[in-house]
Amino acid sequence: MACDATARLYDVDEDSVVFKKLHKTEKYDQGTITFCARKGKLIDLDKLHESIWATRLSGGTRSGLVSLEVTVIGELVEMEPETFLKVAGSDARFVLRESPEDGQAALFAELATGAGTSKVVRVTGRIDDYTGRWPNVLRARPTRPRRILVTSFEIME
Amino acid sequence: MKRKCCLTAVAFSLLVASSAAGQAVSGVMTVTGAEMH
Repeated sequence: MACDATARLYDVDEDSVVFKKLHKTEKYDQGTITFCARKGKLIDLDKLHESIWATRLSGGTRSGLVSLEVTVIGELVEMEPETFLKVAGSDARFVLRESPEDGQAALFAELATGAGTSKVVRVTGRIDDYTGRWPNVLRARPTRPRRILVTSFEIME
Repeated sequence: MKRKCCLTAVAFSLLVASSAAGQAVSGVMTVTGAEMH
């Protein structure tokens, strides 16, 4: 259902949507849904949220959202105490935060040094505080701006 | 004629609104449970 809801979005390249079972456990297995924006488009995460909400995923099961990892491209802006990423070609922005996993602190420190340099960066990370069982995870409105826990980045220019 | 211009303006504004709200170039959603796909 979440896979169909993702593929339905206009800005998502339908051919890019891939569902893969992770085979981690026999019961209540996990799976990933990978998706990309159409050429020249960007995916609106609010619309993704609404599209999944519209499928009326039922409660009372152990199914839910484990995580949403996104890749965004834009310019780093530092406004103490936070580092923001202003998305290129959009009004959207994200708060960038250090991921709690080992080794990510140094990576985030390196990323933050690029703030204010007008460099365009491609940042990948998990949306913070966006996890839980259906439909409760969808009932709560996502925080604005969304926070990305950075796991990797690449300076593009 | 006036109506046609109006419709064109609405269509254009929707187009602009769509790109202004765009955020991510790609994503990976990890889900679990019976309804995961």
